[in-house]
Amino acid sequence: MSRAVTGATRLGRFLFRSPPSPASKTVLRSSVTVSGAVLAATATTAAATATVASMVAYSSSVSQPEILAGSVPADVQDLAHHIKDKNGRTIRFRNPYPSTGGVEPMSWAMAMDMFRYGDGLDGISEHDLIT
Amino acid sequence: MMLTTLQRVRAAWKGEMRFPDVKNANIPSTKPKFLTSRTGSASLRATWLGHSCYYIEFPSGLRVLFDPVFEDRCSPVQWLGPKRYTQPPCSLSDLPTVDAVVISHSHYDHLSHPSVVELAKKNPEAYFFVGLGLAKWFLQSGISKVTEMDWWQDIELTLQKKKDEAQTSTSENDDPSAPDTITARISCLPCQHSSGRSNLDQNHTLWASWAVSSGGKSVWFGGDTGYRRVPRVPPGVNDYGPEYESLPRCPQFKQIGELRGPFDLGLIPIGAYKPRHVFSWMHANPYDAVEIFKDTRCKRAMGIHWGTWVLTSEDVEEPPKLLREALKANGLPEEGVFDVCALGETREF
Repeated sequence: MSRAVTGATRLGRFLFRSPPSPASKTVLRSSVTVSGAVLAATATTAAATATVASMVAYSSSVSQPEILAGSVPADVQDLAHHIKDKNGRTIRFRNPYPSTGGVEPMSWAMAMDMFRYGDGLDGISEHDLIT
Repeated sequence: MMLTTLQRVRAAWKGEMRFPDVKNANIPSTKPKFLTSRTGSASLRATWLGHSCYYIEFPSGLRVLFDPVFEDRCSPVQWLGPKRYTQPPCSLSDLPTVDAVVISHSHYDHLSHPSVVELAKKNPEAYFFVGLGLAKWFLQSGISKVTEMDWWQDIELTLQKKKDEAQTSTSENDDPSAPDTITARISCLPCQHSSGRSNLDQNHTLWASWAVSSGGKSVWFGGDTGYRRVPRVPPGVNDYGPEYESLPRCPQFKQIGELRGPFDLGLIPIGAYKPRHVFSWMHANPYDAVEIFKDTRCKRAMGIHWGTWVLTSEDVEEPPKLLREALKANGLPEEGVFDVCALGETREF
């Protein structure tokens, strides 16, 4: 019982706790080192008044998306990252390589097992998990 | 995604998702200094505006904004969800002209409805570039200048000086040397992540990294990506040790480097990675980031995806420290190649 209360408390704290917001309207001044450079940092939380200029106006246009530059990987035409319905329409996307370790779409049963047994599912492939 | 959510809940239940202390966080911030004309610099200028948001001033005159989120919380509502522990170094209204807005994916820490609506209102000529499936969301938000793209697709963006401006501009703020035409190539490229703004649209829209080149300078924007998934590793053990060498790595970054690289600047995520066995598949840690940096053939890089919201359980100041450690371990200089900077700071490349 006490484990459940402790677990629920931790979960609740993680879900709902937020860090304190720095006091708005406050000006913070600090001298800090970033990558060797000393910056006289001035952070105005309300408004950092950057210089804004009215630049020459341009109108914009874009070409149609297409493969323009150089070659592409051999498997690109397979659209392996598209998950399609029976009509060939893309309905979702996926990461096509095993470097995700198979953590994507899965059934609720698998999800509950994961919750219960944790790392026991680490070796499962993505294809096993797709419902 | 669902598995990650379950793993996240389970880790929180077990006390592994501790909440890092942000009271004493020292993430430096400075007031941004943007150029006042389109042709004010021969260098590529990159200004960090928090988390993954970067404002890029190309020497060609092109102005690009990546993943703008200026709200307090990266959440569907502003009363619940991760809250900023550092403030944006400026507001959206302080930004100069924006010609292109590039969105890596639909998660709330990368795509904000109020921010993109305000940007579109302030910059009616700005184009928004998004992954497949996401244009509908923009159209429903009243933003019509949106182009959705699949991995490995490219577009040419052309900016033409407006005729009346070209003939009649005499204001002292106008730049007579501004070119009549500015062109850019924008490429949608792969990465390893997920998407979704609710439980009902998981992975319905495409996540992507992006390359933008204009006037002889190029930027690769990693957005938000993992590199390889690591199992639970004993405390203090580096998951890049020899026993984990065989874990599969995402091959797409090498493909990007070989087929689209090199890039003058890489904007590469370094934060939101603990516990590693939960997040590694979708969020790079600094060791992963250095591998991505090498694979993509970036000449220089800046770290993104840190210093703004607590999304995971590592200490908020850990990513830059771990980045230096990873650079050293890879035989790279700890400064001057792959750096982090202050919020609002501009670096030139």
